[in-house]
Amino acid sequence: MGKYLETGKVSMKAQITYRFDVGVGSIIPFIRVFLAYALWKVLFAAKTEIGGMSFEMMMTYHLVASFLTRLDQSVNMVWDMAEEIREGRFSKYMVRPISPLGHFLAESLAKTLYILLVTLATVAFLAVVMRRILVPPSSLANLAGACLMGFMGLVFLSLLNYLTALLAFKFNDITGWHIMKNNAVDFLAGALVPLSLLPAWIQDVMRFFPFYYVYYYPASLYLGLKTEQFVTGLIVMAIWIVLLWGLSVIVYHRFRRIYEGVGN
Amino acid sequence: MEKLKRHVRLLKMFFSFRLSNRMIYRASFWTAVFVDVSLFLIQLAVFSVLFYDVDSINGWNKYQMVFFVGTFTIIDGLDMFLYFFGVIGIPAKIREGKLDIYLTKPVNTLFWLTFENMDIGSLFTCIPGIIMVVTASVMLGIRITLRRVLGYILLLLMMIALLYNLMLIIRCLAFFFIKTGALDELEGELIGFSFRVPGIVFRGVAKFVVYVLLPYALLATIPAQFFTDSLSGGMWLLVIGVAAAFTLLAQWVWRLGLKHYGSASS
Repeated sequence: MGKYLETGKVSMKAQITYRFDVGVGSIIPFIRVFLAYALWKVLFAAKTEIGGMSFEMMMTYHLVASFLTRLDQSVNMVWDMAEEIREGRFSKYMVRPISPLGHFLAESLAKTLYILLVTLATVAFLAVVMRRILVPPSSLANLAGACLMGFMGLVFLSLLNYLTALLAFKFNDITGWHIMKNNAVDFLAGALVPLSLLPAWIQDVMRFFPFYYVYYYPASLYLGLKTEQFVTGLIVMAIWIVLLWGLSVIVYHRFRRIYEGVGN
Repeated sequence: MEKLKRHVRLLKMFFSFRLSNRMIYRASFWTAVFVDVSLFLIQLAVFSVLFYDVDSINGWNKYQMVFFVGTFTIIDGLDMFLYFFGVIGIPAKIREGKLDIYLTKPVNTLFWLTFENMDIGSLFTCIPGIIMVVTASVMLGIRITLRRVLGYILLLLMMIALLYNLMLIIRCLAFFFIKTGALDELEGELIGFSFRVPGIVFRGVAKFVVYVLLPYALLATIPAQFFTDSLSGGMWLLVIGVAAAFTLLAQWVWRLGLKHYGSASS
């Protein structure tokens, strides 16, 4: 465990070096909320409710969802890991007494922790400034549930991104796949629009897939919506995390055999 | 004139190199096509979900919105075909000192960097865009005149140039800062949004921000507004002014960045 903590510490220190990047990243929630405000203000002009949400709930949804989106740092780590594999620099992970998956997760969670501290300040500021058009958490229990589900969502995304990066062992260039996956995840997880705007039958199907619980469900739970789906959500996410974990281990052990470690 | 001919020759050469390269790595070619198409479908899905039961938005009806999405799709396809992959590669070249080789060649560095990675597969994305624009024009009963078509093409070209300058300014910041990934994310956010929402929804300060300071909302809105409705003289002036200002700004930031460039150590 100590070695993974050390990995996390190193990763956090590296984040402090990139102050400009972290600073710019912390204003992204501002931009998202500003854009969401402009859009929904117009769409709500003739309506009081869209997709089961009032204007205030919609704005809160976007703030929570954009906060969660910022927390996933594993998505950017795919580029680095894929490049290390392509250039033959991945060998260092194979000779170290540390699991590449554990290393990836430790680094990803440490980055998330750092971003959490920085972005939390931005989000808290926004919450104060926009308090008239934002909704407080429906209850402490729902808030805790949303945090737990959000954390499971981040673990799931880290595993998914690790698996994507592993594809670089097999394919020379994974850029296209990674971009395609990111676009699909953003839509399916509710980062672009709340999934409650989709037809009911699609929502019913999506409840069996993990993306539903990554951004959309934690934000809904925060608002006190769909609380009855909490237990199902936990089970679905736990199953998918275990599945992806197992798949990551299998895929790594298969693909490492075809790795030549010379780069191209 | 000779200089222009030389650059056109170079452009042809870049195109033919990329075409040969893409034909060798066919999987990459088709992957790029799939990426573009998937991005288009997702944006379309978001757009449909948002405006499913909205008949009009700030005076624009459904078919004007379809025209707007079609226009953005064409701009997106053309920018990916022409310069997108060249420009996004600039920060890595700055960080790794690979810019040296470009600087020593007897070719305009920025021209080379911009067009060396043209992506032929992205042109396919323009097809659904053109279909949407034509369908929307028919449904709106627009009388097609030469003036209207030429004006639309001119605005389209201006917006492609504006998007290029916006992209370039962000990439040039890599001359000054080690990591600029968050700026890419911010840009993606603004471009994605301007694809989904026409600029006409903005009012007051918000409009000033997205029309002048971060003019992403102009990109598809202005050509669509010109073709399906009308564009006032004031708006023409604003668009030309913003496009010119960002061209000058991009050139200035690029030159400033080059002065700051310290080869492999930057």
